[in-house]
Amino acid sequence: MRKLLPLAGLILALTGFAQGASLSSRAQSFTLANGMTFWVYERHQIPTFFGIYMAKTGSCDEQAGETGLAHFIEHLSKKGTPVIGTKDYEAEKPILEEMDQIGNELSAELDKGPQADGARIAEMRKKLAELQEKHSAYAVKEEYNKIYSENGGRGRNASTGNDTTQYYISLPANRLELWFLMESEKLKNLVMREYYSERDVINEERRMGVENSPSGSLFEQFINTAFLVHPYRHEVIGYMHDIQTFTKARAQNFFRRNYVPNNLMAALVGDVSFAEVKRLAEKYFGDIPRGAEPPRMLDNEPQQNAERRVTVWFDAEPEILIGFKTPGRESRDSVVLEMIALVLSAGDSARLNRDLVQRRQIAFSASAAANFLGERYGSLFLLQGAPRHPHTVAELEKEFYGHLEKLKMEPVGEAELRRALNQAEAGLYNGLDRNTNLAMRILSNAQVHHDVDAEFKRVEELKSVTAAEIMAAAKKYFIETNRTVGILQRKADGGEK
Amino acid sequence: MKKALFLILLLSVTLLAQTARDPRTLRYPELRFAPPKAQTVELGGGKQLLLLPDHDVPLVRVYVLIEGGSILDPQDREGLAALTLRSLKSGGAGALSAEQVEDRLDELGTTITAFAGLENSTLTLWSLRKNFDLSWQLLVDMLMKPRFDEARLDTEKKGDLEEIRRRWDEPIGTARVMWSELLFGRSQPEGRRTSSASVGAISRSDVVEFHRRSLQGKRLLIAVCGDFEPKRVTAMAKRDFAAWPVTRTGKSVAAPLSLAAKPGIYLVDKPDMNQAVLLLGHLGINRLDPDNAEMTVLNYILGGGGFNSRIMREVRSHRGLAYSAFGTVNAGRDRGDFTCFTQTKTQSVAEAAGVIAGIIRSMTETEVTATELETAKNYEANSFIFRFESPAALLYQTMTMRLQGFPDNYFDTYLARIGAVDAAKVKAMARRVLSPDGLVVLVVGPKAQLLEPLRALQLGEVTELPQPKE
Repeated sequence: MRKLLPLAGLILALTGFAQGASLSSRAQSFTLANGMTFWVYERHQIPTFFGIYMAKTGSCDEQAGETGLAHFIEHLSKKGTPVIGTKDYEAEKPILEEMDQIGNELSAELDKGPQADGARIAEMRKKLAELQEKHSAYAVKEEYNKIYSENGGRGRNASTGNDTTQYYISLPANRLELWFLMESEKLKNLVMREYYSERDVINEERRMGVENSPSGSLFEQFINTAFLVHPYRHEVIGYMHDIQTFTKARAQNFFRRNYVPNNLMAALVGDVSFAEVKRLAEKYFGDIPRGAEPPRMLDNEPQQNAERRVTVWFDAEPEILIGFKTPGRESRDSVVLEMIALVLSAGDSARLNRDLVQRRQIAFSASAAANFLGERYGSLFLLQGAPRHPHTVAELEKEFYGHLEKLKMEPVGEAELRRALNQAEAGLYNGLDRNTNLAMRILSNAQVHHDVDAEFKRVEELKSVTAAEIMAAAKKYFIETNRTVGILQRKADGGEK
Repeated sequence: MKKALFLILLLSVTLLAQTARDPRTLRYPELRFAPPKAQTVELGGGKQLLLLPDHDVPLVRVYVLIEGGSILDPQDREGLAALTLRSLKSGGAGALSAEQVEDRLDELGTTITAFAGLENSTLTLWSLRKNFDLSWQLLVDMLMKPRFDEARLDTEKKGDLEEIRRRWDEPIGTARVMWSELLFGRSQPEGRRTSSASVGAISRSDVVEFHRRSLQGKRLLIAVCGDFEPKRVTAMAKRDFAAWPVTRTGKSVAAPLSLAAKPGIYLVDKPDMNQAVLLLGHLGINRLDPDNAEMTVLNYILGGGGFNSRIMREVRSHRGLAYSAFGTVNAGRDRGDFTCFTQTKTQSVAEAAGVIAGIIRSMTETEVTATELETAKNYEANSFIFRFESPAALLYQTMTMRLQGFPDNYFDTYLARIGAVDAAKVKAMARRVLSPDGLVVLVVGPKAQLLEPLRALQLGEVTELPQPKE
């Protein structure tokens, strides 16, 4: 009996994360014939699991005139199927078709811009509202959500970013099959109901997050200015005109093109078994045909050759964003720039906080981030801050540049590098005790970086960054002609009245 | 022939693939689980240690809960509790100066946070297992031997002043502050807020005194979960918190609440906005209200159940008036708040207000439908497991509920109580806690376009609220 004890201890040690280990030591995967990959991470302490799938499609995959479409699809995805969300699909179908016809005409009219016929637009909108009302008789509002909720689903949501879109929920462990059915049905039989009223919802989301928020407004103007061509230049939510006008046919096209199994990856983390996940994946997702690889945009952003600057006047206290164009994540420089961001702002001891917030109290907040907008394409190295009254945003801007100059002139000391690295390393483990967090990280590694251990390997790479490399990268990227500055100023303090 | 057969086969495969599956046909095995229970160790003098090890990830999390928060701020020293808590971390501790503490934390890759709530203050820590002992020591020193460095206090106060300057920047922030003022009034702990005068008046001795009198000697609960050795941590806690004074009995009792503002519509002018923030409600209930199962179901149906709630369904799904729309009756030390919230374009503010007010009234007049009731109850029953999902969440919940006076076996009877709720009880509860004729309505948005439509609403007089300087 006593002999068994060390063995039990050994098993325990093996099933836990060993320090310095990786996700691949515990996460298992398989790929269906249609190209869809599933990751499974078993832990059985509590009978729940988190299910998520991620499309390698985000706002950066939108074409001109369809900004916001990736996010719009995310909203539409919970509108049901021929058996979910309806009392009688056959009866509602003609109404939906009639709505689409008017919707197409409305889009065409709106696209005429200043030549559009206002009366006609109003009439079509009225007709749409009437049909929407008529459709209500057949619709079962939010039934997709209701089914999940009645089965104990928690935190059902979805999010769209520049690089990816993800759909997720936590469920009790005995509802595993429900997840497979619901999520696969969404891909196979989605009915885009309430298409036109959902536009209004998104308009409100835009007003809330962008137009009426000082930080949101500044951010939108800033990225619009930093990029000329690359789709990282627009907000995920899109522009109002696009949201109002992309037709359902266009949305369906986008959906068909991007939501193919070979562009999707799923993760199930918690009290599930690999064998069961595999069986259900075959059963529910196996019959979805493989699609063509979604088109990928070339990184065609022209070289920036001059400083760009934008000022937003708002009824709010000042803020500043400074962005420098940086190369894609696969380049060595990108690793070095990540290290620089850590030195500048990882933890309270980092340079920006210690100098600008604590010691000299010029800033209310000051931070840095690498690969700020996304990781599929070259992006921005961002400095972000708010001056502390009576210091001005101009003073803070100068102080930021002072820190960048220091990086160019003086090698970063060993103790500082070590503190930065230790935090990066500890950060690998933070949140791994939560199913949600772990699953998201498995997918962003595997789906965006093609390696489930990408972030672990990245930290190893960070360890190899030298002080000389930091100086070289600072000199190369932190220059005037490579930067964009966005400033938020209080209306009363200037600008055209 | 062969070709035709193939075509038929192909066709049937395609049809099969497109036949929509109905999730309601699925049957599920029973879910068996025994919620993990935290081990409680009495540390003496009213202090408790809760332990829940889990060796899956080499991380340790610690939560410290102290019965004392901003409710104890003296008059004219609003912000003292918050400043004291933040300064435990930022003001240096034990043998280390403020910057040395920060260097050490970053060297270890450890995160510690400290913040004051209304009634309780919280410190949290997470660290790698290998750095736990040193991290723990920092946490202990912050609580037992804070240095409250004078220069750091000054920086923190300047930060508070800047926050006051930025208080009205975001429309939602403005709405939140004005809402507490309308519901609770500025003399009650729930409605008080910092001012440059109150922050300016705080001296170092106020902070030292607050730590000594308002935190030390209050009930202290420490919870540890993750990858640790219970015996060792117990010994460490006993050793390190022995000097934390014995709990002084007797809760500080603030005055009972009454609705501060007269029911009616209040308007804060933000002329540049094209969307308004809209809030409706009044006071809520006591947290120990015996009918909280009824309350839970009522909240879910009214506006707490996301897309399954009436407010979200009507305001967002049906009318497309908003992205965010919800409303719940919340519990508090005396009475909490009842708050319905949405943001909608200027032109539809009156419509949204009317719709939400109508939903509130309907809850008191007609019984909820069988479907609504079933969805709410099924959700509560089937998602019950998530109350125990993570050791950290379980511990935090246990600690908070202990401080709030709930019995430890509260959840043992929870599902039975939910099961007993019916439509008549929900209606009775609605009549008891909702006052459709006594609503306070707050609108933050452009006055010029809002005044007329708001006056036309039958929700009381429209009063303009000037945005306060602070």
